[in-house]
Amino acid sequence: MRKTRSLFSYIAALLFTFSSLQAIAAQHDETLKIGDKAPSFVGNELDGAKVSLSDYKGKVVVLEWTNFDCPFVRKHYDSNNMQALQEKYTDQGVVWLRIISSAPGKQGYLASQSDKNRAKQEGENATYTIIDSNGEIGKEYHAKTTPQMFIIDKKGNLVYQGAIDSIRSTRTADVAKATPYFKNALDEVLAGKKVDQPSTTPYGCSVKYED
Amino acid sequence: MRNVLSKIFGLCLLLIACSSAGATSVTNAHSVASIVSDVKTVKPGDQVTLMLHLKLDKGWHSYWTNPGDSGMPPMFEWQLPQGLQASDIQYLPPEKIDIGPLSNYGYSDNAYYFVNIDVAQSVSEGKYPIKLDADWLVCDKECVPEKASFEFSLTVADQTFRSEQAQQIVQLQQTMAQPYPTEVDFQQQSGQVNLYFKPVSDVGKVTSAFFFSEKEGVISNSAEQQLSEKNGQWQLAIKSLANMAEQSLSGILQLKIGDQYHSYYIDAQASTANLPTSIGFWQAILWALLGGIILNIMPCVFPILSLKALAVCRSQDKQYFHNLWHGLLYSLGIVLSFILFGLVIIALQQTSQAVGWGYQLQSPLVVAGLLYLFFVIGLNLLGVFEWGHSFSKVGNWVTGKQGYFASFATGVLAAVIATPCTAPFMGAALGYALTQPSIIALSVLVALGVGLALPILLITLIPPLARILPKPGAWMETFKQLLAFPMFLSCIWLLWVLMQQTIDLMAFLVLLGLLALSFVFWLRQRCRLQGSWWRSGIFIVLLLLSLYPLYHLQKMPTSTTTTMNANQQTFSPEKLQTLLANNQPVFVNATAAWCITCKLNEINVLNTTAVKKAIDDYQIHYLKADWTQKDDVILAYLNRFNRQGVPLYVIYNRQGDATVLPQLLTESMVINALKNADQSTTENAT
Repeated sequence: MRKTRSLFSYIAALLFTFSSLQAIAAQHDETLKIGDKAPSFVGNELDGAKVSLSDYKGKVVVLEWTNFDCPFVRKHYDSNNMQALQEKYTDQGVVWLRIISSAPGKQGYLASQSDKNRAKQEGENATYTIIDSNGEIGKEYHAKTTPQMFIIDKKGNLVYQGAIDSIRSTRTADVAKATPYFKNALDEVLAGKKVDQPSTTPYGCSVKYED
Repeated sequence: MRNVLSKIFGLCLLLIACSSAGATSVTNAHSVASIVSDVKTVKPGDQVTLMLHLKLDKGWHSYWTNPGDSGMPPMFEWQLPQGLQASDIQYLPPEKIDIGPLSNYGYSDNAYYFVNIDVAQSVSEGKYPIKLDADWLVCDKECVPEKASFEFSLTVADQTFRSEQAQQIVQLQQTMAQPYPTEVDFQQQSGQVNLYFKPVSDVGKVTSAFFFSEKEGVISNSAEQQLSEKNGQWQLAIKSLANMAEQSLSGILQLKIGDQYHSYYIDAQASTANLPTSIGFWQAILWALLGGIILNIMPCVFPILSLKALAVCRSQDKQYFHNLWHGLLYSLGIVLSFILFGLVIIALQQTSQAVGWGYQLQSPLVVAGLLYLFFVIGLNLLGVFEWGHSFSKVGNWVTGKQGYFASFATGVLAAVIATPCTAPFMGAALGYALTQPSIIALSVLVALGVGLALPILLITLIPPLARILPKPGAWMETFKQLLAFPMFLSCIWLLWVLMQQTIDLMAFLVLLGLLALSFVFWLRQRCRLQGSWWRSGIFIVLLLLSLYPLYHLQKMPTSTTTTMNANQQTFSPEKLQTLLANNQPVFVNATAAWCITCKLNEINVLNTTAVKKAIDDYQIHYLKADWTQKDDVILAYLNRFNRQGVPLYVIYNRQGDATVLPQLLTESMVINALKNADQSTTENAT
C-alpha cells in the first residue's frame, strides 16, 4: 500500500540518518579503539605499486608513520634502532609498512628523485614505504606524530597504537635507556599473548598534513 | 595585544641579562637562551629562583609541560653541589597553537621557564658551581632540537641579597596561573567532559574559555571547547579522548575576557552529585511522560492538538479500528520524530560539538525557520489561505478527511512544533537523559513522545472519551481562527529569541520576510495561480525574497554571547592616539543606528565570520564610533576627513598612515586592507 510504503521509507530514512551520523561521529573520535577492526586502506608505495591492507589478511602488520627530517625520527634511524626492528620482525613474517603522510611542500614529502632514493634506502628493511600525500590514511588512523606505531594482528584488529618507546627526546643515547613499548607489544602479539600496554601517548613532530 | 607585557619584559630582561656581569646567553638557530637568577647571594635554608628565557624567532614556538599533539617540553639536567635541590620546571600559562588538524600548547616570541633551587641549612658559605644542560624543541613548520649549557656560580653567604633581575622575575612569575577562587567539578558524558565552575566576579564578560590539561592523553588537544552559562554557573564542554577514566583533572583554565587572557590553575574532581537534576531512570521516564502530556496545552502545540482532536471526534461515526489506527499512526509519527531528534543530538555530542536539548534553538537559522513555519500555520488557521490540492494530505485539519499517512504526518508536525517548547517536568527529564548512554536517553525521549501523543491516543482508544468533546458545529471555524493566536504568541517568543542571537537589523529583515510571506499566501489564495505560469513565477520570486533573510542568517557567526569582536572598543581620540603611538593597526568604524548604509555594510561585510576572523588574525584594534546621538567629538573626527556624516571607515597601519575606505564595503576589500595594515612594519618607511 502506498501509505505503508511511505511509512517504511520514513523508518528507512531514520535508520540511514542514524548510521551516517554514527559514521560521522566516529570520524570525529580522536583515536582508534583498541580491539576494533583496523581501517582498511589502499596506497601507492615508492615504486608506484598499489598496496592494500587487505592483501595481508592473516599476517601481523606494523604501520610506522615517518618523516625523515624530523629529529625524533632521526633519533631512531641514526641509531639504527628502527632499521634493526624492521629487519628483526620482517624476518619473522611481520609485514612492515612505513607511511609518509606529509603534504606536498611540507617536511618529509618526497619531492625529488633523490628524496625518493633516500627514503628507499632508509626503508630497505621494511616491506613497503607508502606515500600518503593527501593524508587520508593518516587521518583514518588519527596519526599525530612521526614516529607513531600501530600493530594489527592476524585477524585484522588493532592491538597497539602509540609511541615507539618511553623517552620523549631527540637524543640517540636515550634509545637504549627507554622502555621499548612498541617492541614489547609486538613480541606479545607474536607470542599470542594479550598486549600489556596497548595504547601509549606517541611523541614526535606533528604529521605534516595540509593546512 | 596578547602578552605585550611579557614582550616588553622580555626585551628589558635581555638587555639587562647582556649587560650585567655573570649572565650567560646562548644563541641557537632559532632562539637566544639566557639564564638569570633572582639572588646575588643566598642564605642557607632559603630558595633561589632561576629563570631560563628563550627569545624565539618569529613563527617559532617552544612547549608547555603538556606539549599537545606533538612536540616536547624542555628537559633540564642539573649538576648541583651537595645540599642544593632543583624543583621541577614551572611554567607560565601556554597558548594554543594550531597546525592543521593538530594543536600544540606552548609559547611564541618569548618563553620563560622557572626552577626553584632549595639551599639546605647545612650548606656552608662559599661559591658553588652550578651546571645546567637544557634541551628543548623549537618548531615552526619543522622542528629543531636545541640546547644550551650554562655554568655559573652561586654564592652562599649569611644574607640573601636580591639581584637586579629579581623584580622582573617576580613580576613574570605573577603571571603564572593562580588557583581558581572557587571549587571546580567535572562530569563525564559519552565522549565529553563538562567542567563546572562559578563565574569569577568583577573580571568582565568572558567570551570564551579553554582548559589545558597537564596530563596528556586525557582530553582532545585540538577540539574547541564550548562555554555556556546555566543557573549562574559556567559549564565548559570538553571533548575527551576515548577510554578516559580520570577521577581528577588538573591544568590551566584560561578565560578570554575582552582581549586579555586570565589563567587559573584548577584541580577538578569528578562529581556526580553536582548535577542540578540528578534523578533516577524511572523518575525520568515518569516526568518525561507528564511533561509530554503538559506540552499539549502549551501555546505552540495546543492548536495542532485541538484540531486533531476535533478531526477525530468528527469521524466518530467510522469504525473503531479505523479511528484507532489513525490514533496509533499519529502517535508513531510523534515518537519516531522524537527518536530522530534524539539520535541527532547524541551523534552531535560525539563530535566536537557540545549540545543539549534546545541546541537547535542556538542556531538563529533554525529559530528563524521555525518562526516562518509557525507564522504560516497561524495564517492558515486564521483563514488567510487554505492548503491547496498538493497539501491536502497534511492540511484539512477539521474535515477529518485525512488518509492514514496524513495522521502520521500530523504527528511528525506536532513533534517538530513541540521541540522549541518546553513544559514543566521536561527539563529535569531531558537533563537526566542527555547524561546517560544512548539507549536510556532514547527511552526518555520515547516516553516524552508517548506523553505528547497520549490525549489523541486515548480518544481513539476509548471512544466514550471522545463524547466529552463538544459536538462538531459552526463554532469549529471560529475556534480554528482563535487558535491562530497562541500560534502567533509562539512566533513572538521565537522572534524575541532571534533578537538575542543576531543584530537588530537581521530581526528587521526576518519580519520583512514574514510580511512578504503573508503577502505571497494571500495572493495565492486570491488569484487562483495554478495553471498560469507567469503568475506562479511571481509567487516563486516573492517566496524566494521572503526566504532571503534565512540565507543571510547562515552567513553570520552564530555566537550567542556577543556580536562584538574581542578587541572592539568604543572610539575616543585619546585611545586612537595611544594605539597609534604604539604602532598598532587600527580600524575605525563611524556608524549610527539610523544609518542604513552603515547597517548594510555591517550585515554584509563587517559582521561576517570571515572579516571578524581577519580582525582577530591580524590583531587589528577595532574602534567603533557610535554617532546615533549627537556627539561633537565624533563630528570633529569626521571633519578631519572632510566628512559631515556617516559611515566613515578608516584603517591605520602600523606606521600610523590612514586609509579611508569607500562607503560601500566588500569583504575582500576590507580583508585586504586589514592585511596591509598589519603587515606594514616600522622598518618599511615609504
